[in-house]
Amino acid sequence: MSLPVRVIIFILGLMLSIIIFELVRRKKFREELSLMWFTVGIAIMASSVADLIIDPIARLLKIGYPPALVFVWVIFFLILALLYFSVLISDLKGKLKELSQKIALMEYKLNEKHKKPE
Amino acid sequence: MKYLIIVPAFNEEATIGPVIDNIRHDVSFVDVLVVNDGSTDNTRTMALEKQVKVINHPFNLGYGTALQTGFRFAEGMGYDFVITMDADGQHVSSSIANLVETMEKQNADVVIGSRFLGGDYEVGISKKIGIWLFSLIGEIYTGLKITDPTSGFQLLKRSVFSYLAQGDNYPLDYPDVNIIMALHNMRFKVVEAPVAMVTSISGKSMHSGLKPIVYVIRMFLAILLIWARRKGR
Repeated sequence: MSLPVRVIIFILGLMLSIIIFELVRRKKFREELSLMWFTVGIAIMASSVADLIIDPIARLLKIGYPPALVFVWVIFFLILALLYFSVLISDLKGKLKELSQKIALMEYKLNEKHKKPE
Repeated sequence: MKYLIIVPAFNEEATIGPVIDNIRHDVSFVDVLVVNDGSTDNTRTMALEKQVKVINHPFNLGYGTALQTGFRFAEGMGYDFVITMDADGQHVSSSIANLVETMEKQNADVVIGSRFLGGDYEVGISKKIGIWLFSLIGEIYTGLKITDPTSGFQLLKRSVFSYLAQGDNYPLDYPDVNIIMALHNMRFKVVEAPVAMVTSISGKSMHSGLKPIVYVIRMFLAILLIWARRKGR
C-alpha cells in the first residue's frame, strides 16, 4: 500500500471518530451506543497499516488473496453489530409494550374518574 | 363471582356491535371489556356506543398484547374469571355457559373452547394439518388431548390470568399450543369443552398469504423455548 493511500484511510477513520464525538457532544447520539462506532473509527485508522499484519497472517493461513481475510473479519464484526442492534430493538419493543399497556390502563381509569360525579 | 369477557379488537367496526349484542343476549352475569388495539376505523366508537368498558392501545400492539392488557385490567379490578373471545364474530357466546359448566365440573384452571369436539366445523387443509401437528406436539408434551390449540375462546381462572398478565408470560402475537404447554409447566389444569364457532363474519383471517409458513416456524421456535424454559411451579 502506498503512503498516500495509508494517509487517506487514516484521515477517513479520524474523520469518522470526530463526527461521532461531535454527535455525542451535541447529545444527538447516546454515549453507550457510540462506543461501538468509536471502535469502528479506530479500526479504520488501524487498517491504514493493517496490511503489515494481515499479509503475514494470510500467508500463514495459506490464503492466496490476503484482502479476503479482511473481508471475513469485517463481515464477522458487522454481523455482531447487527446482532447487538437486534437485541437492543427487542429490548425496546418489550419496554414499548409495557409502557403502552400502562398508558392504556391509566387512560381508562382517568376517563372513569372524570365520568363519575364529584 | 365476577366474570369479565375480554374482546381484543383491531379494525372490527362492522362486527364489534353484533358481537357485544350477542354476548348481552346470551349471558347476563358478565362484564364486557373491548381492548381496542390501535384500530384506525370506528371500532372504538362502536364499542363505546354499546356501553361496555373500552381500553385503547395508542397503536397496534398485536392480538396477544391486547389480551394481556385485558388480563392486567381484570387482575387490577378484582375479577375472578376471564373469558376471551374474538371480535370477528367467530365465537358463539351461547357456548359460554358450557365453558363455565365444564370448569365447575372438572375443577379446571383453564377451559379451552374446542370447535371440533362434537361440532362439524370445517377448516381448510393447511389449517387442518397445522392444528393436527401442534395438537400432537402438545399431547406428547402435556399428555392432554387438545383438539383445538388455536382456539381463542377460553375461560381462565384468576390464578391463570394473573400469571399470564406478568411481564413476558404471554406472547405478543398469537397464543397457541405454546401457551397450553407453558400453563402445563406451571401445573395449571387445562381441559377442553365443546363450543360453537361460525366462519368469521368479517371474512378476515389472521393467517393469509405467506403468514402460515412463518407462523409454523415461529410456533416451532416458541414450543422449543417453552421446553427449554420448563420448570415446576
